[in-house]
Amino acid sequence: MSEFTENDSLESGLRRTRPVAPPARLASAISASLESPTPVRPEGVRSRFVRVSLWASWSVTAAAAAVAIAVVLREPRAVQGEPSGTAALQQQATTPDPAQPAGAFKVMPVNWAGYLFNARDEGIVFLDDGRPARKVRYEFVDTFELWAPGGAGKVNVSYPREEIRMIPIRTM
Amino acid sequence: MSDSLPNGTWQSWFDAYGRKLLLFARQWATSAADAEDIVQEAFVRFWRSPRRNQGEAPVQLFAMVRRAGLDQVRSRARRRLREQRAAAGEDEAAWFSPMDGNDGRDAEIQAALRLLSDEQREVVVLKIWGELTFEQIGASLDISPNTAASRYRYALEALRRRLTTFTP
Repeated sequence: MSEFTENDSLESGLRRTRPVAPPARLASAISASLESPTPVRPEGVRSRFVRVSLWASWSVTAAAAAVAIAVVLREPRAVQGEPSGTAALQQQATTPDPAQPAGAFKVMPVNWAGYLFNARDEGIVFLDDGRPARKVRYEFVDTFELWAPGGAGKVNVSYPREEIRMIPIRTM
Repeated sequence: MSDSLPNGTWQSWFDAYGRKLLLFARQWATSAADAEDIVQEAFVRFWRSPRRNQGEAPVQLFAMVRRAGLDQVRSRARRRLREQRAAAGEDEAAWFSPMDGNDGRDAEIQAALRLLSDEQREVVVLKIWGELTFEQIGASLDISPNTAASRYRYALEALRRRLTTFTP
């Protein structure tokens, strides 16, 4: 195999080999996959919003509980003698408490929605490891729907939220 | 790599890149079927990507194959299966088409490629059979072009030593 003694001839020797052709079943499988219904995947900012929304859903309960606490605190009798925390609030909302004074304001979160209303490209920055990244600021309005058992109805609470994402830029 | 891209059908892209992608996928697969799974997943993802009509689409295509391959490697179930298949010696599918008069050279090259490190092998495959430039290889593998060139140089030296030793 003297043709492999130098790199140049080695490269040309390697290039003379030809990778195995894909079998027909692979083309058929790709064709079938491409013909199957495509999941709707928003592009650009919207797709990031989906991820942000999923991430934000983790904090829904905690944030809603914070809103509920703020509402309950407006009714001093409702929080008097009650343990604090989300569990206590949910128990308070779902379990009738005969010792609770009539008229106490009880709520529990039942729905949440996040709306992206602005995305602003703030230019290129450098990350801690020196890589360039694009800084994008997203502005949301999160809305919680709180339900008050006992016929008191529902209330929507909205507040703005801002998130900054660093999107690494691939350099050639 | 040629600057001209295939026309707008997926079949034309598959005709142009199918062999190269399948060979590249073999770096992470333990069987021909696994390699086909990787190519299928990556190609479908590429074709549905809104970025496929932008520049450097071939680079994205190879990068997607690599991601799909690495995903497969990370899969615990597939790792177990790979180990079982390797133990059973089932992974003997040829990477290259037999050519007349080459006296089994393709099998020797395949064996020598297997002995390279993963990092060197993927650069060699992309350079020789993928026909990418070092800049494009760097973009596909998320490394600098200089790193790609360095790995390629070391890989060629290793291949030259190993292929020379096969001389009867």
